[in-house]
Amino acid sequence: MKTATILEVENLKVYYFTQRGVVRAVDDVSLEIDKGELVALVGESGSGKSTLAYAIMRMVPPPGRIVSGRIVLSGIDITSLSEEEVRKLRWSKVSMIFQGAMNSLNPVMRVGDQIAEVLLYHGAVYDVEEGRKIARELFKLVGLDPERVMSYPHELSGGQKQRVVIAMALALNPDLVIADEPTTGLDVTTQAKIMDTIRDIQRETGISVLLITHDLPLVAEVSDRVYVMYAGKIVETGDVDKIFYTPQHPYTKGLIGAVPSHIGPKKRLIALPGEPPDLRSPPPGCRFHPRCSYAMPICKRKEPPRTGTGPRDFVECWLYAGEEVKKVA
Amino acid sequence: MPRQDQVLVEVDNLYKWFPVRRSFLETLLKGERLFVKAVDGISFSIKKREIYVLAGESGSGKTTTGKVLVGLEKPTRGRIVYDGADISSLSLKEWRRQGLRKKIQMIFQDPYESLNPRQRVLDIVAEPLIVNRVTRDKREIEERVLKILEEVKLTPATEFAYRYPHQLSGGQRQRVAIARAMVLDPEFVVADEPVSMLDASIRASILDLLMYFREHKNVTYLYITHDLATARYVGDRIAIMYLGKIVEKGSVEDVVTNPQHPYTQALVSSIPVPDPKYAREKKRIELKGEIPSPINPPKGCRLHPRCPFAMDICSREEPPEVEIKPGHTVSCWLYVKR
Amino acid sequence: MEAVSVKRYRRFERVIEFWRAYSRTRLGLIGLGILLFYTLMAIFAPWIAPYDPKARVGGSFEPPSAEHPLGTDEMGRDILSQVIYGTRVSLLVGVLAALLAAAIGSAVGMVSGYFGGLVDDLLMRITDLFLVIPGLPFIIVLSVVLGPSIWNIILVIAIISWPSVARLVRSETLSLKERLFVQASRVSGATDLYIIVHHILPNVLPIVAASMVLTITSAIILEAGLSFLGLGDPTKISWGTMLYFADRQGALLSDNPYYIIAPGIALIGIGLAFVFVSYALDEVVNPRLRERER
Repeated sequence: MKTATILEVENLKVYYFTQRGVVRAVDDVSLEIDKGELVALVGESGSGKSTLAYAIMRMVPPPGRIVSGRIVLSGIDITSLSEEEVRKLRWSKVSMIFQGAMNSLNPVMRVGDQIAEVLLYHGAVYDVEEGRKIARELFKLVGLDPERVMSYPHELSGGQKQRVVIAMALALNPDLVIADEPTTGLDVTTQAKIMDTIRDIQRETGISVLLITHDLPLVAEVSDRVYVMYAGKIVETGDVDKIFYTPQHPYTKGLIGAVPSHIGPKKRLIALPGEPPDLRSPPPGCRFHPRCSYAMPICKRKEPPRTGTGPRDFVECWLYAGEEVKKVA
Repeated sequence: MPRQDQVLVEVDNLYKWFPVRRSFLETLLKGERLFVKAVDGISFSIKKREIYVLAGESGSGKTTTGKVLVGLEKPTRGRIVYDGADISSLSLKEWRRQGLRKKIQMIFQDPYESLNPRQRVLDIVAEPLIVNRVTRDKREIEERVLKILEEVKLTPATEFAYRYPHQLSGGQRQRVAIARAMVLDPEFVVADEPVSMLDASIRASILDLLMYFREHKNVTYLYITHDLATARYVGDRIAIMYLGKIVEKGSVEDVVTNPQHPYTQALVSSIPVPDPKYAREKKRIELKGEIPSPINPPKGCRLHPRCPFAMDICSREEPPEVEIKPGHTVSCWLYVKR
Repeated sequence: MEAVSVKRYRRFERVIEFWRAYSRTRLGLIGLGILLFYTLMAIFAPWIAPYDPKARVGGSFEPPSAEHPLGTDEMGRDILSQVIYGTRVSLLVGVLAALLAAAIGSAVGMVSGYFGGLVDDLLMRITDLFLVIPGLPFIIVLSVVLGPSIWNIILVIAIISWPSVARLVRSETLSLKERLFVQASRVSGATDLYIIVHHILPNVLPIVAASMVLTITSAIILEAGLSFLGLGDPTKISWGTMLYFADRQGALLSDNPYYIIAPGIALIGIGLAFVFVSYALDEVVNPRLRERER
């Protein structure tokens, strides 16, 4: 292998054990990210993509828990670590930009001090002054005026707050940053600038980024590779050009066909029919079959096999299964 | 069927200023009153059966304009002519008496907030029928609600009618909101970012629904959005707003594919494109800094402190509206021949 | 986060859901149990009570015996029967006074919060006026003026209890009226009255109900207090009047101290029960305290 693999998720299952049944939010998912890659995880709300992110942080909220599978982060299997050991890794090896995090900054604390606090907590610095100094450096990195460390959150615009949150995620120089819908709630022009910043930092520092979003155009703009998640499963993966120019899975095709573009000829959009399934009782066979216009009888009975060249380029769909496989099934 | 070129809504030099709340002491110390100039002199007209797009970012005044048009806010100054009648100075009571409530409806951005969590879908959609005293017959109300639920594709309607909002997905809730707006067969609907809170995958189906009501019920729309890609999908004509003013107007196709005003150009170049190769090569026009406060907007052209092409005159005088092509106008000094 | 299950949902299921959340709180169940006990006692008093509470059925100040489990009072009347009948008055006063206070408070609070401006200023100044009036002296003066009757006591308690409800409802209304669904209703053509009745009221009711529980408690105790001071209705047997007479007759030093202990314990019991219920309701109704079910 040429470059180091930062994150390996193997056959991960994360279920929520609610009073009204077991929600299979992440159901046998494998995924890998190399050093310096920006990988996108795309899916609708309820597809389990945020749960997967929480699992990588080892922060699955109850009643959810990791049922089986492995998460290997920088060579360490974090699924078997104790809570205490995980706490040390969290933020220093993997950090997360939470959805809407910019609105959860402490309103009565200077933003620089909030970053210094993270540094102090993890023992990276020994006093606030030192922490502020690093915060200044981080602010420069994310395109903020270093003097802003003395500001309070209400003195900053939405875009600036989001930059503070990004700076906080980078504070301990992690190997991997998970960005969960990092631009929702921001204006279009701000959104573009924030994504540029994330991409630039990622290229300069060689950090790996897992971008979680439902916004396909955003994915096309910044990512190297893409995982498409549907109802708790990865249904297709490949590099960004393959996903956008030669998508295979009907769900991927549907997602792309449903998104308007302001360039090129005006196309007719084809809406994906229906709603994602209830993950307490997902449909049998291929989970997408009730919404799929190519569905065949076999799709309702058996889970589709994986076809492709490897763990980074595959599709799980009966349309691409060889005749022998279908016969056996 | 109404002819295409008949004007339904005309907005003429509309202003909406909100007084800034200050303490008693502040008012004493500083004599002048401060205003948030949310909408600061805009004009446009919407033709019958048209989907007119009002686009801009937060703070541009687009939502305030929408609220004025449905009577949720009273204009500070300016004229609104609806179907030939001046409605800008009507009181809320007059508004109802003239039956405007039945003709003009609104769809809100956030379907999680716009539905009362304690009401069933049936009650929510029936409300316009009840409050406008369309009928008192319970059976008829239920029939009409079920019919409109079918139309917005919440089927089986008899099942959805008895659910509560928290049992619906975002897309389904927005369909309920649309059903409520459409149950009175309105002529004009203000749709305020109706898909921006929804998953990208289901936006198209909601947009199709809006267009269905245009095709089959002759509904005219003011479509408010920040997303020029969806604007292009649904809209006929568009006005781009920045800080309370319209900076560019024209057909959606012209404005979105060939933007002229530096702000529109920045906006268009910021839209992510679902095309990786194009995305890698495209150049972004970037605006400096952040949007200024609408309490004290910049003098001259409001964009000048952020504009990459700003000239001397931009900071002194407000740019005039220049027609660069029939129906396509720009308010920018770059296009003024001197 | 998860997809919504397809299920027909009826109004009563809301109640079931509420009950499910409520029944998870242990204090709430205990409180409700005690309340049920008191309520049954009040309803079935004539069947449960061994004697007519006003009839002389024994000697004066008889200590507890098999015939009179809690003994008798100075006139030879059965204490147990009096305590059982007293439940009726206490509950009646508590519930009616709290209902009246909730009604006045909700109306003032909603009107004030919804319309704002001058109406709000005026109503809130009146509310403040009632809030700063020292409660007990005011009640004493008022009940002296109005005369000793159970209805006057209810009225008086309601008068000093409504302002806090009004404050609570007003602040809730202030945030509710900015909610998008209220604006949506206005665009639909709803009148202010319609919006208040159909959108504001149902959304403030839960917190009013929760606050009412505490008002009931304080009303019951106030009634007892007033009666103990001799301002109660002497023709009705309540725990307060019992305490009043017991005190005047020196029951504590007599052969039957239960004359004063029994109504006291009855009062403490009902007070605690309501406080438990109010804790539980707070947990269920107050969204900030409610744990989110994922």
